[in-house]
Amino acid sequence: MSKAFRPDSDLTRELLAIFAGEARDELDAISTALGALEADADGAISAGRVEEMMRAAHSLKGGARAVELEPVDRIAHALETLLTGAAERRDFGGETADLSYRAIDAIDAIVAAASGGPAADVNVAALCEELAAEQDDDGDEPDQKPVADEPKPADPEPAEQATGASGRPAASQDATVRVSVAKLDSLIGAVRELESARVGIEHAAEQLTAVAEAADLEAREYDARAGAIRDATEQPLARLQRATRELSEDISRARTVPLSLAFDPLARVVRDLARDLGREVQLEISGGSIDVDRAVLEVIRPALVHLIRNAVDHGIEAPATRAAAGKPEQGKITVSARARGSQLTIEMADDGSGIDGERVKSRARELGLLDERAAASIEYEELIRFVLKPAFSTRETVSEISGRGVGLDAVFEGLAAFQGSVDISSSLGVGTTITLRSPLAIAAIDCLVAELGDDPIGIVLSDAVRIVSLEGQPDDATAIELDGRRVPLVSPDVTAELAPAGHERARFAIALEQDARLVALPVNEIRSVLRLGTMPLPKPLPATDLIRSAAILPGGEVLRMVDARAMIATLPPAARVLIAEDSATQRERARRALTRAGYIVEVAEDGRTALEALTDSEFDALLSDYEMPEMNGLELIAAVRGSEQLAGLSIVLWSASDDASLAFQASDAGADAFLEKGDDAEPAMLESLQRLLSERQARESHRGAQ
Amino acid sequence: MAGDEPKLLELLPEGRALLQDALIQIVTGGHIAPLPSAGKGWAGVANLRGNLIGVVDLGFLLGFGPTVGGLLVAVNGHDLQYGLLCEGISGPRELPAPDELPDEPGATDPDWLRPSPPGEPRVIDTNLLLEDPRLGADL
Repeated sequence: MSKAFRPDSDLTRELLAIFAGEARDELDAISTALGALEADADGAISAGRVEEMMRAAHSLKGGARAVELEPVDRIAHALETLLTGAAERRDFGGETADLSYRAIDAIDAIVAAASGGPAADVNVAALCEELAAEQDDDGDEPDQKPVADEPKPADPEPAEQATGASGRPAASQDATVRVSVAKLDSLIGAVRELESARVGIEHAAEQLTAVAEAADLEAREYDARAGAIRDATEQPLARLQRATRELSEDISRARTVPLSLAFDPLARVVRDLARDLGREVQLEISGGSIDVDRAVLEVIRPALVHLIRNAVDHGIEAPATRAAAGKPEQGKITVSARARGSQLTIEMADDGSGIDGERVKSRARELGLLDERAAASIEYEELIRFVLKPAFSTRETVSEISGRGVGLDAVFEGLAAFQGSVDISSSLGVGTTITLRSPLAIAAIDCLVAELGDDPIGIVLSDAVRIVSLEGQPDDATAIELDGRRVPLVSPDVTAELAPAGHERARFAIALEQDARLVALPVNEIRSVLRLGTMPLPKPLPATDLIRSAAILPGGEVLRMVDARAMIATLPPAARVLIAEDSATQRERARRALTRAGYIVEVAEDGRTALEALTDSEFDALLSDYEMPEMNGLELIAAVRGSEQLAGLSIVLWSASDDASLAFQASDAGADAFLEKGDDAEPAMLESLQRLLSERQARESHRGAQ
Repeated sequence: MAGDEPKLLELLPEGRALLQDALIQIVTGGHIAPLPSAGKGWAGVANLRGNLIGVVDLGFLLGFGPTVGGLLVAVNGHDLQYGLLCEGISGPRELPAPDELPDEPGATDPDWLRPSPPGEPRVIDTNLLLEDPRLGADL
């Protein structure tokens, strides 16, 4: 095991932090160069890559000595020796690459442990022995691969010649300064404070202007004084605006990193996995030079690793399977990035087996994510989005690679915090494409600031479609009406999450929309609309469902951003109603009324068609006319009540007949309610259905509790 | 002289302390926005110099129930910044000499409280605290 290393002085600690950053870069450089050299095994070996790798290994050794990290020094030395031998033999494939990668992982783990991370499980002596043994073994069998450009023998100390004393080219030393991410975060935090103070001053200035303009003629003196204050604040405010904007832009630029930091490690992941799984995979990457904010990279980097593991494990088939399907034995994964304006789009496409919709459906049923009726009608495009759900995997057995079903949902949530998104498309037997969209940097967005209980909550303004007064609404209202459409209010459980200490009776509801679904969020007050930079909730906080990001208000308060998609996900699935009605006009009128009320509606033109629809698919309620061809309403109800499969269906019979006995006949047949058609029948129809469905839900809950 | 400076900051309720090295800032009057679904061990999320930090409810973790009001102390742990919500602070203390420390922690103490001599405050290990399963921290 490696010797435990703990920094024992402030100086060592500071040096170690610098070394940890440097080591990360050098290990990435070795890994990237090694991956390229290994891929070029049949072709020319680039002298530049060899030199870069040797320089990085040598720098690592020197840095480790400077911070007295002896295990890293030893491994880096053995690695450098191995790579020197490999350079002489011009062979970086096979065991040399495997051992080198193991050395890279070991150094990474030891540096992380020394920086306060978990203890490194590395047997340094054994690893160094293996590295030395490999060098000795291969030293007997020099390879004959050509070295491109300048075929010169590798020097045991090449980095000393190629670089300055620190192991880095002198020019780059002058051009850049290494700044820790923590320091940049601290700076950007200070900028946020400045910006938030600026927004506060702007807001105050606006209010002052409003007061000054509202002053009447009798208050000229007040008006003049207020005007003078406004004029006095105008210039400094403009300077503050410019300075904070420039500072913000400069700091944001300083935080940018090339996307290649996320892309480069993918080659290693694909290489290792493909070998373990017996796959042949070609990886093509483009767009690595695009600069993104480090915070965006931190979300994207693990996302890409997870996605590419999925692509190799679940997507790309075994060579024999591919050959049998008429595909090339070598599968292909393409990762491409492009930037348009402030938006980043990354596509990962594989030419593998695609997503098997039936397996997804079966798994979704097992996990209780999909009921029978929904499974019958769900479209493939919608179905495959289930792979983004937590704990979802179509694997029969959990694999160590990507079968645990965790991670894709984390990808989705991580991006959602930046107002980004994940899309998935797939074609069985052809392949799968996953598209990540994200801003290149964390941008300010318009936020609607409201109050519920003691603490403010924010909503992305574009998610809010309307603010509605709740005056006159009953205390126990479960929905509001918006343009004739029933919009469910979020449940008290959800409001308790936002205001755990309780809240006064809500005065307003904010209607939120996502993917054409609406939900109403009750609030006590509407404060303002502010342009704010939102941030994902920080580690080590565990992920939460309703709140995924937050912003800082001008006064320094934390504004929790309510996620509209998550709010809608708290709603129970909409009830499904079948309308059996032979009159096209009546049918369409009822369909519109029920759709507006939030129900999922299907229609049938006669009783027999209705019975077939009820048998083929699952419904919660039936609204049936009495007089219909083929099978009238009473006959339809009798047939439904005689069917065990349709037990529990709520039934409303409505009719324009003036036969007074029809209500009794309907009741005898098994209808739950009878209504007379007329101009004002719709509210009664909606009320009846809502009551019957609530009673049905209560019965089912009661049965579930037992 | 640096060696004469106090090395511990005692927190209320009494008997728990922070190593000075782990301390970032004592945040007075800081607003903590609640996040109940993060779990009872979390008081919420707060603003530390323009950045967000998760805030652990120390009172809850010590079995005293949720801390009401209280003082926010920003600390480092696992290379992350986070907050500890405690009842208050009672001042700096000297670090006990290593030979004064008992060998074994108390039977009911969480792992993140280091052993201390009788009458001395127990030092909170701000790395180990985040590994308390009640927090479900994302490390």
